[in-house]
Amino acid sequence: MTNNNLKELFILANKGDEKSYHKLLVAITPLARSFVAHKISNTNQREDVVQEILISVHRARHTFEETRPFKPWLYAIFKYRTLDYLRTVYRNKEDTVEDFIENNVLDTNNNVTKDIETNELLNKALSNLNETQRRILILLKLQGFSAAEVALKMDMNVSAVKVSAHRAIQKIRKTCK
Amino acid sequence: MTNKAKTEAIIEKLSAKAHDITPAFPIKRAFLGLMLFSILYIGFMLHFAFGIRIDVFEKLELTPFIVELATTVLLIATTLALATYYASPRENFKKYQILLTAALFTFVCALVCNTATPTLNFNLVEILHNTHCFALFILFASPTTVLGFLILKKGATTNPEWLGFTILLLSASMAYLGVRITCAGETIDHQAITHLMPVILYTIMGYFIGKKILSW
Repeated sequence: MTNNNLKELFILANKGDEKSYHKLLVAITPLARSFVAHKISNTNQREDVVQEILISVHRARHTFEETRPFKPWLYAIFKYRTLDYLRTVYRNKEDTVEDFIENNVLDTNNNVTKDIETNELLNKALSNLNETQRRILILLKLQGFSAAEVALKMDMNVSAVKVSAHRAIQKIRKTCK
Repeated sequence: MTNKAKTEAIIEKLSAKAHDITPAFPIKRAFLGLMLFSILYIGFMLHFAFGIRIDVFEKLELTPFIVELATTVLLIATTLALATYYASPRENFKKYQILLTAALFTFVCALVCNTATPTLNFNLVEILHNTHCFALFILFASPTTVLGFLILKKGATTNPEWLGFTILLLSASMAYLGVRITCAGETIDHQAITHLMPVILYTIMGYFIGKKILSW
């Protein structure tokens, strides 16, 4: 759907047209999902943010001026809500590295190295990482150290270890896709 | 219920509330009204309560003073425009917009420092005890601040921190003008500590207050 179509639907929705509003919300949901997917990989968390975005669009409807283009207004809300969510996550430390790995990467109970192809893919993925990222992942996942212990060993702070591990896992997922 | 099913349920609920829309608040008109109110309020206070400095007409013959006041007015106009623009969902504040406001205020500081009388006996304690200008500043800035935030709460900004910074810079600039017209203190220590420093501190406070009050 083009920007003009969405804008027309939104203007009709703001006049009380339920059908247009429903069409609009259905049309913007995949846009929201696609936007959030760049920042959040966990599908459940992503869907939570999409729901927050839809509610925010509803709450902020009255601020849209018909003389403005629609998509910049919409994407400003996408960005605001997504960053707001990420700030809450980092502030509350809800997402520990262990939770993230459990929710997002491989099931660590499976013996993934049985399959030679998978083994080669994993080796390739690991070789794409820089030395620090590789060492952090090995210490965390293979040798079972906690983030605090890894931070001590590598003379880094704990949040830097977590961010590095998070980025390493993102890289591995991209390679393994 | 799966998470996607929850999203669909939310879409159904929101669609049913299509008619339930807050009336659009005329932010531009509200801000113009706020400016008019602030000017009248400060004018009233100056005329009936605190008086204008006795040397104001002499000062108005000096170009640096006129340029200082004109730059402050330009700063007020800039912050007003930014506050109006960013009151609804927009892209992030541009760096040049923040730098422009900082540059205008820095220029005012430079003008003041250039034209102020040097201090013979600097006494910080004595300056801080002279709370008259601090009190004036708060008195002049507060109504604009409170009303400004009330107006902005009607919008839905996606830049709460920088908008808080902007609205407090707007209030502080108006208060600075008022204090400058009533206070005849021209020494550099008095100007820096009781006129300029409150503007800086007030504005920085705005960044944190904006984060708390304008987030939604």
